[in-house]
Amino acid sequence: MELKQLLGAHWDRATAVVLVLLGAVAIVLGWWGISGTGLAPEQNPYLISGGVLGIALIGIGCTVWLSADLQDEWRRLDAVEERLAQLADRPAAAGRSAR
Amino acid sequence: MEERPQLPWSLADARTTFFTAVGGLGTVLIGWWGASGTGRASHQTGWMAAAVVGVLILGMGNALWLLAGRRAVGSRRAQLLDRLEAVPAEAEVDASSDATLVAVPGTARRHRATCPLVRGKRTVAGGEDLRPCEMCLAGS
Repeated sequence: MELKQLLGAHWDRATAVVLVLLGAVAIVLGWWGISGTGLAPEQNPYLISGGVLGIALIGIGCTVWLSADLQDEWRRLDAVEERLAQLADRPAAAGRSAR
Repeated sequence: MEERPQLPWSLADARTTFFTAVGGLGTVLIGWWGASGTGRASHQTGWMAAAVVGVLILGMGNALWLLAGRRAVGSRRAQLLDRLEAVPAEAEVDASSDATLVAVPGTARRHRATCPLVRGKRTVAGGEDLRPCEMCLAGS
């Protein structure tokens, strides 16, 4: 249950981890395919589908993770802005009550 | 009041990233499809180059996405810092006001912020539950 809640709250980071793992699996599968044949024409498709696609998936995963960090920072700035508005309103309110 | 976006990215950023991701991944898949369709290494070189270009397109789109987010967060942080610099000035005006009540920590009386008995002393705002100062709050 806790894991489900954690995944629900951090779905973007969970997606990032899944993408990075998929990329790593693609690279390992590509290596496995390449090592199974000694002919370059048979190895090249594995190089693309394993190596290049794996790197692409890892890159997307890292981007998703960094996007989640940026979103968190954006939400924290929301909270700071709200507190700042309260702080700026306080002296004005005190001044009003004195009149 | 100014409407604040919920995310650090605009729709144009999302559109650019989507098209570069689809285009990049599509180019990689086309490269793989082309390379696996021929048995000669010399014919595969071009398809492999296409796959590498696809990854570069994808990476460029991702970098633009992250830069746009970083720029938006940085710009908003700078705006907040500007506003933060303006807040103490308002607080100082308030501290010199007769309406503000203060107390010296550990003492039993509350004072006006302008009371000479607290001038130069470290004070805290509040103290409504303390006894009023006979000098500055007499009769209030």
